[in-house]
Amino acid sequence: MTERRWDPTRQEWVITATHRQERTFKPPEDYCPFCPTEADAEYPTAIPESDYDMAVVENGFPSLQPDPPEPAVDGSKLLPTEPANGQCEVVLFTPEHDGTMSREPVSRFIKLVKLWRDRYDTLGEKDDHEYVYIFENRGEDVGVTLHHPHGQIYAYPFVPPKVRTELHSSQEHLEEHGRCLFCDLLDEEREDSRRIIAENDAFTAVVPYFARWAYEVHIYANDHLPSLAAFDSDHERALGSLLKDVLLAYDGLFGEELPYVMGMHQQPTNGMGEDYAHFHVEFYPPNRTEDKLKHLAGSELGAGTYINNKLAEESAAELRESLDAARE
Amino acid sequence: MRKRKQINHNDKYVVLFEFDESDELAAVDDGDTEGSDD
Repeated sequence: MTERRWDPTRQEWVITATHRQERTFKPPEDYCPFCPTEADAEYPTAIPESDYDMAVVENGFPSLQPDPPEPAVDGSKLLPTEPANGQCEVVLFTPEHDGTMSREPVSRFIKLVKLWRDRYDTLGEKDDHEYVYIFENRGEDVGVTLHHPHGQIYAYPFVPPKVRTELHSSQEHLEEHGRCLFCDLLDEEREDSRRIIAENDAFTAVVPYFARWAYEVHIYANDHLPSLAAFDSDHERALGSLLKDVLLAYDGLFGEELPYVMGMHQQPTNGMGEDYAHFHVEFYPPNRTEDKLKHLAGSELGAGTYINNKLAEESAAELRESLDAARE
Repeated sequence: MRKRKQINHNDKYVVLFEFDESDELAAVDDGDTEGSDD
């Protein structure tokens, strides 16, 4: 069953999805649900084709559903409960089960941006989809249970709290200074330049001044683009190119695929925030060294204050060096 | 870019994406990381 419960202390929804306890857990390669279905296969995968280039499949264990069941418990005025309406999709980056995205040509990243743009538009058309959240969990260290290269999309029936906070801050900044907060942040990062990893005509990759994770990277649109819907083909090409650069830098850092959580922040599809939502992608790798992970603990989970064990300026220098080495 | 939508054996939808490889995508791989400059 699924439902959402309101936490009035944080003014946030919590989603309950008990059926996800049963989801596919690290299947052997022969039983990967995201590989193409071979002609002589005993069992079909989720993809009813013998080959594909890139695909989207409706999540088999969704946290949000177009026709959700009624909540398991009755809520109250103080503690409301609602059905967990929305949509969950899985994005298959490649048909290759053992594919490594940093070794893929730039064209695959550009295709991915085009696909994401289509899903943002398509899922955003539904009235109850207020925010189309595009994300990726990569590596067992961030809880991945299926190794086939893939990302996910959640179409939430609300603007999720992290994005809502960013939008609120940017709206206040706009009202006070007449400028988008993210445009001003990017101007400062570019003027300082110490934390920039790579850039091109349309996007900049940077370890942000306020990084919470040792190797956190954000990719910001150079111009004020609220969302993927504002992209043209030059933006698609430029973002694809920079995404590959970030993965090259990450995978060269310790000589293996760096695990991370990636999240895309942009304008909600409920129409709010065109002047102050600014398209960007955030990467949070859990590694603080080659063999040590940062765990969210007392200060982070209990108080909401992150302790970063590394200077953003030093991380950026390491990532630039890694990218330079990968390009040679 | 073209899309083909199907229903799989679990009654879930699948959208297959096909891309025109002839022009911009092929050209971009000639230079691979072309366009980036740190």
